Amino acid sequence: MTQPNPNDVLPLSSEPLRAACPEIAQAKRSLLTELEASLESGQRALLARDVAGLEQSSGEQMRLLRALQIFWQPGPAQDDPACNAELRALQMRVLHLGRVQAALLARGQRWLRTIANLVTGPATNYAPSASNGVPLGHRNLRASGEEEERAPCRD
Amino acid sequence: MSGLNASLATALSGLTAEQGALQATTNNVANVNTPGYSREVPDLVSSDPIVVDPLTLGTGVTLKSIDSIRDPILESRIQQETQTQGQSSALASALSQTQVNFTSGTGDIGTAISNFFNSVNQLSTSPADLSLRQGVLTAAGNLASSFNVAANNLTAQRSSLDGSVEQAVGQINQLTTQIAQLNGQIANLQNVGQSAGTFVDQRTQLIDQLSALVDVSVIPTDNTLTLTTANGTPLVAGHQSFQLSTQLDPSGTQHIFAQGSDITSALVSGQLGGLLQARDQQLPALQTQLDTLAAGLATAVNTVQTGGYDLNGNPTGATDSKGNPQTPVTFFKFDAPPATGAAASLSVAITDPAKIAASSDGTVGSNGNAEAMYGLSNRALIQGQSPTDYYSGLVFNLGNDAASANAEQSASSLVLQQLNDQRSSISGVSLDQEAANMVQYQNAYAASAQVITAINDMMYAAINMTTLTG
Repeated sequence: MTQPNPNDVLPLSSEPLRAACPEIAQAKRSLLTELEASLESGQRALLARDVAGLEQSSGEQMRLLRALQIFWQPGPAQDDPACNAELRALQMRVLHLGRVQAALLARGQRWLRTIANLVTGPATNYAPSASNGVPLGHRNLRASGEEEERAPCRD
Repeated sequence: MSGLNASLATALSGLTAEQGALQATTNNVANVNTPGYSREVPDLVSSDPIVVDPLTLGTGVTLKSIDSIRDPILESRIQQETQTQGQSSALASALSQTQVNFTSGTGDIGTAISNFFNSVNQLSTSPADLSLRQGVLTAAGNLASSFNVAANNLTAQRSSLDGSVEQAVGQINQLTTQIAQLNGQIANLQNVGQSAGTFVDQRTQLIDQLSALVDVSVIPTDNTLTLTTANGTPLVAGHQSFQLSTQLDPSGTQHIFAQGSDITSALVSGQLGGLLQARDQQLPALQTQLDTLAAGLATAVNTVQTGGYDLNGNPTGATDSKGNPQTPVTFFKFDAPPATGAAASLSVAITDPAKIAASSDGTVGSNGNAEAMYGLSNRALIQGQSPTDYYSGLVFNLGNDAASANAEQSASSLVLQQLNDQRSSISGVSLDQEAANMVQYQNAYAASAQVITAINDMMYAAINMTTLTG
């Protein structure tokens, strides 16, 4: 399998790359740096409730993830320990940012649920939604047989 | 009432109102750097007009109240996020301390397991070599010791967390007492129509501090508020506070009680929630895993040990060479739960290196049993995993939990930073805005004073006119 040229997948990071690192490590580093920046911008968008910004950064992250999957094929570790350490530190930062993003998304989800409940109004039943789309009260009535008893009265 | 006197009273109301408004501005400027201070704005309203047929005449202005600017929903969100931060911060701190026990190094359990099996492997190359046999015993001793140290450290950490729980309960009681006192002062002031803004600010700050410690629900009532934990246990109701207490359970851990009920399991947020989560869930789970690993490993080694022959050709199992029952010569010994726990009590049962059952047939050169013992290193002994894999999983899960708690803490800090910025933009003092207000009130005051001067001139003219005509 021929290795893809990193320049075909992504533009390289503007930061100067370690010249001593092998090309594949430089490409990984570039992708991780870009992912780090994208996660940070995603966090800012999440905090600012900027849906467009969040969508954009999520799209970037998906693209970067696909590119990283191509590069992260199992294989021998790089020989340069400094290079490995640098990549490892970058990986840890990205992992942490990913976890923070997940935590912020969970908060965003809770906030949306609260807003949805507020918008729906006080008439909404806050109990878990009834199964099969049958309203809870309706099912209870049917189960107790009250509906059948009351039906003639409606006529 | 009309005429010049009425106009004078109207102008005077302007002077008084603008003076009060200026006082609010002065107070805002003075508190520009006071943490938790909410800016005050004067509420100026027109005084009730009077009807003098056919006219309706205004009677000036009244400074109805000086209100502090707050957003109750924002305050509530800050309190909720503070609780989350308190919880994740306490948990992250506890787990990072726990991680120290499992950091790879010379004395960690993972290295000790590898060293033990390596020494057994070396013994299998020369099963009669006494120095290699001694090496196995030393490595086994180190393995047992690393389990003991890790288990004892976990127990010590639980005790330390217990102390922190007690301390947190003390702080909660102190804060709820102060909040109850402030509730009384606020209610007293508001009942007589006075502004209690400063006390409300102090109370908000104390509630923020309380939120960092425990999950608090704030229920506003007339002129006061009620605080409960998330499960409804009252902490403060009006001017009355309800103290929490701690009591030791039979296992020696502190439980939290409110009015006679044990609410320990109901506290899930705030620093207390994080401490309890670490003490009652994370550390016991880790301790159980350690016990499982120690017991599984020791049992497997003992099984192999008691199936072979020692250096003197004697069987180490339950029967001797003549078939008579004997006490098996086990390699490790440990207390099974519910006693101390396998990890804390694990020790090497044999002291004589010759007792190691390296031989599988009783001959001196046989290494069958030593090889079988070494083979355990890759066998699925504990819940379908090899000892090393099981230990790696334990360390990975711990690291994962610690990293998640750290990420939660970071997320909470980011959200809190943003919410506090929002609070500052709503409740904080802007010196530019206050400078503009000051000029506005100053000009209005000067204008009212000018009106009084004009009325004075008019009155003077009227008095002079009266003198001339008289």
